[in-house]
Amino acid sequence: MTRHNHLRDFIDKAFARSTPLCRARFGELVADVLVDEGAAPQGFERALLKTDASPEASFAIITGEDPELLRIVPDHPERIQVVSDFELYAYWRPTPSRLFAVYDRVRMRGAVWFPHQIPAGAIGQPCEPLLHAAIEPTGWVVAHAAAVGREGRFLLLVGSGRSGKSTATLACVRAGWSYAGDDLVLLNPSRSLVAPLFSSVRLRHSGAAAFQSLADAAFMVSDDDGAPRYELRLDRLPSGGTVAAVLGVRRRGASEVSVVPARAADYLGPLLRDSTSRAPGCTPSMTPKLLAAGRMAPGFIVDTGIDPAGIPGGLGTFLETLP
Amino acid sequence: MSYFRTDVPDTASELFDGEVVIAHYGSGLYFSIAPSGALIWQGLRHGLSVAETAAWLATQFPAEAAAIPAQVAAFVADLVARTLLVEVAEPIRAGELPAIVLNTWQEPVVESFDDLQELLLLDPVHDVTEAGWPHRPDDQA
Repeated sequence: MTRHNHLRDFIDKAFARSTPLCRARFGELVADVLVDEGAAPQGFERALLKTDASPEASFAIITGEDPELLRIVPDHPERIQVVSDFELYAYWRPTPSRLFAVYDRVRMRGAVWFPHQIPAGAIGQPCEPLLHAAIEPTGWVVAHAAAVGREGRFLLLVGSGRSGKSTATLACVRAGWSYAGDDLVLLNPSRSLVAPLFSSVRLRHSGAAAFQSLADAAFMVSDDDGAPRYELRLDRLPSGGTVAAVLGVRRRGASEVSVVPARAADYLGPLLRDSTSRAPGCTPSMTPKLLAAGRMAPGFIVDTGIDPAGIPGGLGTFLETLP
Repeated sequence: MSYFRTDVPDTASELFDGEVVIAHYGSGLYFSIAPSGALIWQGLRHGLSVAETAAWLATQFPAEAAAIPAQVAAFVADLVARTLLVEVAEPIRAGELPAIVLNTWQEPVVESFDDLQELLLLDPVHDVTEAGWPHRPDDQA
């Protein structure tokens, strides 16, 4: 049996043990999502954007320690390992929790495996390991960024973890803004568009109480390097639009929202690093799109200030100055 | 005459407003070139030789005309050493030369960033066995 056949066999076995969960859209990609018995009770559907459109792809989410499935894990399971070619994408990740994702680019279907204990972050962002490969042939790219907007014009917020993207996103949502995501969004650089992937947001403990009123349920508490993170589903659906500015987010203690022009290198580093790190093997296709995303709109550095309540006003005033 | 191409294998580049950012999969580094260096890069991309690029810029910045040829040559040598440029026999004419909005010439430099290194070096396919990962224990044939 060749490597490709093993990987396709893994996908086939995953689908054979799974049943349909829902049909979801990920930007312009529509996919049927299936789950096995272990994954079914996890609540993945709460983070998915459901649709009745015709599906192009299908994803299965499976769990457990099935020896037949696990025979395919790499010879060195302690290392990240990747296979990526024109037909298949496979990604084995040993830490922080084991994950195995395989996507058949030809048949447009893939499966992602977790151990019994599925990380809450994965429940808030279902199928994410497969999406990078699934949208690779399109003009879209999955980016580690947040996006908020008004009247169809969005600010793309770029920054590493703890930079304040989620706080800024939720502060704006609470003020009535639209949002496309607080952690992962879809970008189409050639059309200067941002689109949502999931209806979930992630919050640290300090922010959970402040923004609890926005959520229809705090559906999971996860662990992020020992700190609790709350995976919330907001009570309104995300939406997308045109990117009006790219903002590198930094918190440097400004008393209020402060925006200054930036060089591309100032904000592209986090965008490239944190986006490509989620999909080893897809870097050569993702990087040109992410670089191009940096010039969808003018770039700035923003300090969101010490008072979240002041963020919508500050960003709103800034948005109005943009052409 | 020395001509160079800027679309180099194993790299992705993007021209911003007065800045060029290049990601290099081979080294795992990414680079920022601005602002004088971006003009040199655009001159080469347009199909000018190194000497023609220096002459073009010397006319734009007459106060620095004496220093520009040596600085352009050194900058190009630096980009070649980092495999961000590849020499070609014939010029590849592309697009128009940019309108120069830079007020003052500055000695061109390349800034390099290594925070992508671990990620870029992981790609595209690594850590597979000779049989090609994954292979199962019963694959003896």
